[in-house]
Amino acid sequence: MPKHSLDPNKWVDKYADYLFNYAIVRVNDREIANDLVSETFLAGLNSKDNFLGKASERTWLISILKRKVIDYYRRINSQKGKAEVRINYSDDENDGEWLEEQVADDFDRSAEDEMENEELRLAILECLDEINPKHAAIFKMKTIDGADTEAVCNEFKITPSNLWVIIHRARTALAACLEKKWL
Amino acid sequence: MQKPKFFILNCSDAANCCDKKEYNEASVREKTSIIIHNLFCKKCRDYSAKNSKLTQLIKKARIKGCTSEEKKNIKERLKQEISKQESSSS
Repeated sequence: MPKHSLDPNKWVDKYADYLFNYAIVRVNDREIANDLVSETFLAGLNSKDNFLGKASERTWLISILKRKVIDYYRRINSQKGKAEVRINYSDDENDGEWLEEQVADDFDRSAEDEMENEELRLAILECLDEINPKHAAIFKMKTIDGADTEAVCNEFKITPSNLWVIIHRARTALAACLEKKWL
Repeated sequence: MQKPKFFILNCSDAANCCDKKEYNEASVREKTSIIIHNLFCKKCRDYSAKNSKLTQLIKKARIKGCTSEEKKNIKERLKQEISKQESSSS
């Protein structure tokens, strides 16, 4: 088995999205998720001498992030009573807003769906990790961020026909990878 | 890509149009050409089906990426830390 090594300079490009997606479903707040991701990278950097090379870089970073998420929940719940959910609708300031808060979730969305979606999300990101990094970056910008063709072309300095060839290759590779991992 | 003559495409152009269609960027002419091409070409028919399935899966996963600005911030923090470590070790 090849020994894995760490390369902190490439961490952000390679794993930021993956870790961010992992964090955001757990803390449900963009800013906090971002903080957790950057804290994870810093912690990883500080303890990179402890990395044995048995697991892949990503697995190692995820395990750090897991601890960070737990720490985060400990921190916000450390003051006594904060963990309790308080329901209090007698507040004058929020008069009338309680109705909106009570709206039911979509009927077709269940916990299993959410879990499946998370797995799917991570599977897609894992697959994107495996294809050509430049193709993956372009594909992400076009498909996930929904950028215009023109904007992507300007960013990467390529022609539109070039872009479509890259998108085609990325899609084919991604489909093949997902077929293995997901279907 | 050349404009298709009489809605006839070769397979690589059909694949190209099919990709465009997934991003809603195909013209009516291109869409019609794909339909006609797919009538005769099983390979491209399969590709079209696979392609739209991939789009569906990506939509379903609702991936939220970090914005490039957020990434830049993280990168800078990490870079500072790396240079700090390097200077302290040397």
